[in-house]
Amino acid sequence: MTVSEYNKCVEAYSDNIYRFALKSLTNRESAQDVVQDSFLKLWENRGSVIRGKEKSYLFTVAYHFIINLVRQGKRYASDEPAQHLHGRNDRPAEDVAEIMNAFLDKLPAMQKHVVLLRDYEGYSYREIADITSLTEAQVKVYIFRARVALKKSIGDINHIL
Amino acid sequence: MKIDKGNYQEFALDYLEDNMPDGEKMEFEKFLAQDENARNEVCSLASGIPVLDATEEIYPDKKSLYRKPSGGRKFLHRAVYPAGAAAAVLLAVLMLWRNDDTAVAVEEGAVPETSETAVAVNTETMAALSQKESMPTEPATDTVKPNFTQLPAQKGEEKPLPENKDIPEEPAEAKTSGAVAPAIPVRDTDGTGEDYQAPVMAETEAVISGYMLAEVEEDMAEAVAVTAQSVAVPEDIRISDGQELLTAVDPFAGMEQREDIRKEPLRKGLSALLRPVENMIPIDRFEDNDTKGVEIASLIRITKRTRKD
Repeated sequence: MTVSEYNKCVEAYSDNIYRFALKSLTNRESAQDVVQDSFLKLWENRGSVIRGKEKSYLFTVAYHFIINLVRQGKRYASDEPAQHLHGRNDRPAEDVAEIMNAFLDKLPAMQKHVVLLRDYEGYSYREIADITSLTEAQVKVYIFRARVALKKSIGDINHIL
Repeated sequence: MKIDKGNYQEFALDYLEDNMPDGEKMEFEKFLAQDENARNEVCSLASGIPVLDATEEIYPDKKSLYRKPSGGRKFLHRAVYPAGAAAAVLLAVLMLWRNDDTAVAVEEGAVPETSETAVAVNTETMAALSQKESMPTEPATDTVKPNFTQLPAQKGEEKPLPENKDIPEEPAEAKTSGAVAPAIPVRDTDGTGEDYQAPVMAETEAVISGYMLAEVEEDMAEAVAVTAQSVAVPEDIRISDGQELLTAVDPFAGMEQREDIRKEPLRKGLSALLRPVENMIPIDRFEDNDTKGVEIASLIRITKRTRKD
């Protein structure tokens, strides 16, 4: 990987990594640290990263940084207290996205991560399995459970894929 | 694979997204018909799967992530710079050395012949002088202009020889006063009875002839230094007939003294020139029967032919 290619990765993926980390940790400083560490790791291993797999590599590294932070309990040192969602069927449709994002924090960490990777980044189950070191079946189970939980929380919404 | 209560969740999404083969789909529906809880979960999502809307987040410190591609070039510059500096110093030393070597080469090519001539004539002169000592000195009837065409040209510091009318005649007692070099008279080969003293120029040649055996470190500065200290001995050489350079002394007779004279400038010669680069470039000295010299960085060998008579 050349410097130019690395800088293109920064331009293309830094916001995605930051969003993934921020949604996972709900802490901006920790999320920024994850981004810095992830790209530093990419730069240090630029010689061994397969061309075209830079994004997956970055998310894999970021995911493991996030897991470590979660295990250390840093995710609870949030500077942005999560807006807890109280399931209401009378919320206007335009608030559904906000409600879902708020309810995301109530999901178990693993479900949250895989849903973020699936819905935000559009990864396939196979790719999510590679990033998270899970099996594809495990990814499907986590996502299914997360969907069911979200559905129960927000009720019948019109925001349907 | 058999679908049961323990693994139905991993098939649910494929069923809802219609990514399941027909046979597997029938088996899954068969399972759902048997399990009410599973059927309720799947049916809750059948009306619509909740999907997160991606919010836009901008990483605020993106500039800190970029890398500059100039690191390799800086390394290249750093690597080339000392090598270039060393090459420049080496080139300067070589240029200085070549200049000196050229000067010495001119002297080398000329001085041996002169010395041989001088030595050869010296023998003849001594034989002639032994006969002439008994003859009276005749007055000069004609002046002889010394011919210095046989003298080698010296680089840079060739001095015009004085006209014969400006050269003072040797006192008679000086011409016949013993065998010591300054006192030995010079043969009057053309019968003019007038001898000429080769003042500075001839003495310089004689001194330079001593450099035949000098070490490689002799350079122009040494030659100039030695010459400057030797100018004050003009009686060694006489020009008698304008065709031959005659000398009554062995040109190497004063080598011991001249070696002493040379030592100081020798140490300050090439060694001083090479001293600034000795730590950077390996410099070896060599010597064999005919040549001496220095070898710089095992690449450049500067040799000087030495002649031992």
